[in-house]
Amino acid sequence: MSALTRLPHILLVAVLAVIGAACGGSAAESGGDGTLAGRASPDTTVFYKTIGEPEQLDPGFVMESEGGEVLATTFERLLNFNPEDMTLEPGVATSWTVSDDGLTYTFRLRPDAKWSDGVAITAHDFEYSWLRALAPETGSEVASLLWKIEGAEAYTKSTPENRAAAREAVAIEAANDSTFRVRLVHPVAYFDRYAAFAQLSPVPRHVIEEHGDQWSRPENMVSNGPWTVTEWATQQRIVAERNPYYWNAEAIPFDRVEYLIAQANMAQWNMFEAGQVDILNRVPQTFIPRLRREQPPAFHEGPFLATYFYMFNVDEPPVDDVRVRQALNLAVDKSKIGTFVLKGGQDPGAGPTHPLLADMGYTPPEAPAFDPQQARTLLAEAGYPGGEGFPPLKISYNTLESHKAVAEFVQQEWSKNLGINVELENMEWKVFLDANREGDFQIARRGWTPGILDPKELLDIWKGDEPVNVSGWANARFDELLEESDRTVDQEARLELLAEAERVWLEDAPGITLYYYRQHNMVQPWVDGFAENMLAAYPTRHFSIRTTAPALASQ
Amino acid sequence: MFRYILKRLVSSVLVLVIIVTASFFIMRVAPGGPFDTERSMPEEVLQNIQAKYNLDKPLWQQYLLQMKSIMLEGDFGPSMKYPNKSVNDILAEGLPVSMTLGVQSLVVALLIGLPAGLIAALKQNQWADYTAMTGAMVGISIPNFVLGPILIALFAIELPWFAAAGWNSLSAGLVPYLQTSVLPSLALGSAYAAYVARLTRGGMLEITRQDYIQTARAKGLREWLIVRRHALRGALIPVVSYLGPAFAGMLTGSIVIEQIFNIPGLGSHFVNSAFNRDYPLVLGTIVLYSGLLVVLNLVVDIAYTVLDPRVSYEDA
Repeated sequence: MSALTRLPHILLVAVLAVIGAACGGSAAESGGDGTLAGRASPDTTVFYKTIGEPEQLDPGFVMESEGGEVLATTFERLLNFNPEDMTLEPGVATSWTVSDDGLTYTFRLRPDAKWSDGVAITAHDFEYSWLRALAPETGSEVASLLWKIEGAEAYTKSTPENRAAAREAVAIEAANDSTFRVRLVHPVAYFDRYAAFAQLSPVPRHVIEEHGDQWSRPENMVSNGPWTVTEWATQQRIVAERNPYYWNAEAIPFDRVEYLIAQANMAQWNMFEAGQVDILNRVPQTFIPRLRREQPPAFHEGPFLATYFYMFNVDEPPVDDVRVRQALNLAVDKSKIGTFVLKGGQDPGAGPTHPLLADMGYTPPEAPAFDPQQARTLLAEAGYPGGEGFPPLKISYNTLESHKAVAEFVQQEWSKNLGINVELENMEWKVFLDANREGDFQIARRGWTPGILDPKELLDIWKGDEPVNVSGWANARFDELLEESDRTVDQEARLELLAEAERVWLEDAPGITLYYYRQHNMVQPWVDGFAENMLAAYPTRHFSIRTTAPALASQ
Repeated sequence: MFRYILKRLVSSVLVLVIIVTASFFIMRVAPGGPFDTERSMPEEVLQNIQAKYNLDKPLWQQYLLQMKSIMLEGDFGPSMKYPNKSVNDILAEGLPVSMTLGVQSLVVALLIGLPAGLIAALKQNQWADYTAMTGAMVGISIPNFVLGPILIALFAIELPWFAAAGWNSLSAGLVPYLQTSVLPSLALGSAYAAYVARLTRGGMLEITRQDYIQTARAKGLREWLIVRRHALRGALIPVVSYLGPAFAGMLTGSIVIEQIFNIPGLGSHFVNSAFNRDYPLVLGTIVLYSGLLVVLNLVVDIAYTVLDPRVSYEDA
């Protein structure tokens, strides 16, 4: 209560403080010259970042990007990826080999890897952690990431009666303390990329056995990354302190990493502008054109490995007719989305894969270009010349300003080019997911972030039995081609099979790829080590704060 | 008086039970569930999760279980969105912040509103009156989601005196606390200050025309003494009756301010828990807010008896 009675007093002090500050002289200028002026904290041993509220910090469960960001800082996987060139580097594993048939991956673990409480990390920790993620009792979404391992899917889907045998059959094995081995269902050329996923970090068995579900609360947390979470104040901050037992402790640039939690983009932006955070990964959409013009050194943009598309419900007329679907696809000038609608410079959508795949030698089949004339012809063939007699059609999307803008643009294009009127319907996220699952939609907005640069990861979601695919579209030829690619070890042949599958998709058009995502970041002038990458993943250990004095001329 | 309070408390509990029951069932009617995701989970996994939260039981059984743990143990159970935190933890973290912000905004409202209203009434139809009332009109008209960003732009970014966002509790020290709390409480309190000013002015004008004030004037008392001893008490009754709903409005309405200033109060849980279908957290925030409203109304009713001797609950 004393705080309450003191409040009028406190306010008076506040008013005086304001007056005092007003008389105190000019405010700090922004650090455009590359100095620390403008940074809210002078302490360069702390790195500040802003994120949304994570759901939890148990690697066995985290599927959203916020939690993933904290995991990337506080846990270490078998392998790390280099943000500059996306190559894999040793993490807890020093080396790894693949058997000739492409099925068995063997990881050699470093002997000096330790948990933040000093306990050594062995291959048994990984065995325990991956099996834990798979266990049906755990009930984790992470499980499906590991289903490429022999016996893994069967274990997750096992019943209490056959569970023990199913667990025995999973091909995850610690051969000894320093050798970890998994065998896959079929060759996956990029399985080592999975080994760098934050969700597949090891979890400390000895701590979980002591604290149960509560082990990942900050007071119990033990992790194996450069930093360990020591504080989590809901909606305020997550603090991670240096892990003294980290095997590469000398290479760690900061004593502490502070995540300032902010849900709203605007609040995050304000923190960046006030110099409270060193980097901002979520730039408000409407600011982008201005920032691109005015802030070239701080503003960074580039492609992001994610697709934005509309999914048709192919059981619902009129989009059960492939000619209608193709007409709708041909009638949208997707190049306008990045320039006039979202203004973020997003690349126009074509097929279901991503243009960045060219980097790994993938050549997608040519996707049909914007062609309103051809679209009208197709629509007429389907029985709706000039859009006449076209049945009611609705685009459903989850409530968000940018989804609305895109939907309105598509609505306009179809009205202009095909003479049809479609309705727009926004739904709150959970209602939207429910409608999707029930097949209660005609056209639904979706997006996909594969996290690994391989066409397979983007095509897989369209398989007939894939839970993400709620379109009702199941094409035997498409599924067959994907399965054949799984059996194919030769990379070139494999990519050709995938391109063929993509061609099948394009012919049947169960969806319209509208655009490929782009990322926009703001980096403070005093931050070194920002290297843009297609996964928009920026490990904190690669950053540093420049403390050197500015050039004489600018003083 | 004691019997009156007791009676009110008993009826409040009934009100709360009705609110909880209604919210429990309305919430379940909404489509979608807490564990819906874009990549739907295998049925086997989903069943395990639902069993963990009793969601596999029939609805009436879930209701009884929930009611039992709320009524008997005061425990709302674990959050479904933040599985490491209990709803009680989350509320305990957010409530002090929301309360502090609410109280401070109330103080802002009174510190600005009362003097402005008094001056306006005493200098009726003079420039001071016009200035204060114009100011009040402006204060009422500018919504807090406009005022908030303006304050941030001026006093956090142009002149970096205050934090643009975030929250430091008083235990972090007075200066850090003020750096994060002054702007939001100004943004939240100013509209209420405007109302308070108008109510104070109206109350004063009415009272100063009463006979007993005329008598006091005739006795030759000095004006400020009349105001302090005789007029103010009566004039404040409308203000006091406004304060209850105002404080409640500040607590529940702080969601916008909490978003803009990124304050870790209860407001965002109130809204987001419903979006996330985090059933236990929805119930927790509803019970807490309705409990606060019930108590605040009671406090206001009791305050009347202190201010106006004509009001009494003895025979009620």
